[in-house]
Amino acid sequence: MGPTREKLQTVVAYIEQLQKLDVAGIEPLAHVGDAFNRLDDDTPRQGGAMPREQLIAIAPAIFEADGQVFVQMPKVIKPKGDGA
Amino acid sequence: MSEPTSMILPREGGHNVRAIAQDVRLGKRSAEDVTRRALMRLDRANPSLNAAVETFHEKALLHARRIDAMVALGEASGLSLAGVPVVLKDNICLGPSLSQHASVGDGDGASHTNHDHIGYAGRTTCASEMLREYRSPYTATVAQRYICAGAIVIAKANMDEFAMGSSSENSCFGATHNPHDLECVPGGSSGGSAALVASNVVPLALGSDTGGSIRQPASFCGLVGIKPTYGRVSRYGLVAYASSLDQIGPMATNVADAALALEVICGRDKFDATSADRTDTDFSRDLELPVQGLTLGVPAQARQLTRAGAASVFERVLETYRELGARIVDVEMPMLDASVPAYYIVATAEASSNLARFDGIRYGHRATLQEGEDLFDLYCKSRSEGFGKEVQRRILLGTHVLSSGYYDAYYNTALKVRRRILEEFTTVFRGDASRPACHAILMPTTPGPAFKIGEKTSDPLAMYLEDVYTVAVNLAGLPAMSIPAGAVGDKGARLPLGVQVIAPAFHESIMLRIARMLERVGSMP
Repeated sequence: MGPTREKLQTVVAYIEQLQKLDVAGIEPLAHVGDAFNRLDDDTPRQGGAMPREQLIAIAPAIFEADGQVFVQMPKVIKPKGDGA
Repeated sequence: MSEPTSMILPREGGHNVRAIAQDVRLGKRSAEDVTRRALMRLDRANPSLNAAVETFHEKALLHARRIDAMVALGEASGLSLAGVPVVLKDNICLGPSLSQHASVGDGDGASHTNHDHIGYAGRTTCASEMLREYRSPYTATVAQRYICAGAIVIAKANMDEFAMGSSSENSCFGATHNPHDLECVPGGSSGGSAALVASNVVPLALGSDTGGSIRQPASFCGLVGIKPTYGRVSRYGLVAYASSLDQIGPMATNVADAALALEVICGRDKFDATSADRTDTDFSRDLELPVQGLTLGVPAQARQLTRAGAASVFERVLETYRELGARIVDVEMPMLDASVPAYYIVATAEASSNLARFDGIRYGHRATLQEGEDLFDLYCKSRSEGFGKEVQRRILLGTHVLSSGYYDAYYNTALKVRRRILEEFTTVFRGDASRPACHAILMPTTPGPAFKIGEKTSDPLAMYLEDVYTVAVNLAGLPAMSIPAGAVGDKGARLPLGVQVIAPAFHESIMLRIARMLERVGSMP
């Protein structure tokens, strides 16, 4: 962590220079594309979504149950008595 | 025998996009032969360059034969990139087939049927351990548009991990080398794309540009590289780094080829809500118009070049434009000085959010858990193992500038600076009482030529400052391109250096024309 922290501190010190600028009263600009951002109609896409099997096939761990394939997760619920 | 110091293959006759496509369409050359030769060059150059991370020998030839079959049937007349071998930066998704579920954009679906069965099924790694084995289930719109125009993808190109870097050294596959001097970096993050075009392996590539990642390698490798107006090109299928800054663009050996490639990839795409619906997409038409009477602005910062030879290259460019009849005017853009810190705040903030998706659950690298470790450990270990140092640094910086208590001081201030930068550009292009309106702005692309591999890897800030001339354009969403302007260095070790043309939003046409006039003078004996 030593060198990483040191390098990060150099970068943070560098970006601090922005705080010397007088930007009072200026409206922040998060995105330049607002002028042409368009919303699509809320209708189902022709051909449907991407195939479920294809999407699940790229997961790093999968399992089968009841003839269906699912993404495998590690245990989320901890055994009784462990923590709150 | 001493080791070779460069890797630039002899340029074959007709090694440019227009000539190849025309010859293939007319049946003078077969796409298969063109592709075979490109693959041979790739095999010869890549061991020295480390520029390709995946190659498609069989699939490319299969695809080329299909193009030849279309030519034989008279179905290839509309293919503007017929048989042109290309490489794609490895953050552009190339799925197992062209999107069956997705037509490309609006109104250009008719010609797709002949390509429906072309599948490259490659990996999309972003040069990251996180995605080393990732196979995208879908194809990026730009890749689809290239392929539908007849282009043959022969390889995916090396890059800085997740496009974060200016040297193509931050790659899980190792650094890419500059074809002009193998001890130097090709620039980044689209360094692999640049190296494969500059070494004459392919005449055309696609890169992405978030803060200069197309223009800077183009400058370092002696190429034409375009960062289009934000919204000009669909980002669907580009692995996101900073969504409000990212744009995909072409890299080529000459302006006309780059213009043609931009015509192929631009336009509205219903899968990218920020893609613009524009009709001004004929970028080739005005290329040969003179620049006489045009006004070109030069910010004071452009003349602050200190590295050997760089200033005189830029001054010569200004002199050339003056001789061509353009008017060169000095412009004041004080906020440009704040563009690098503002950029690294905005870009890392967006990156920290975009890269949150890589959690080891649904795709990408998943760490092996030890007994007793839980979901939180899985997130931590997967991300620590999957992301390289620079990516981790930017995620940490991004979460820091967005954190409660710092948000206003960093992120919000950067967004205000961003507005001021855009306003300064607008003022220059519009003109005011004291100054005429500028048609475009000229700036160096980079402070100097390519630096040595390893020279800046231990100093992230020095690396960030390489982007001093390029990042403002992304913050403002403007189109910009780098074109070769000259070379610097001693005889025998001369390195190319580019100059940058920046235009108002959606004025790519005049930007390309200004670039073309410099190119034309340079190519004259």
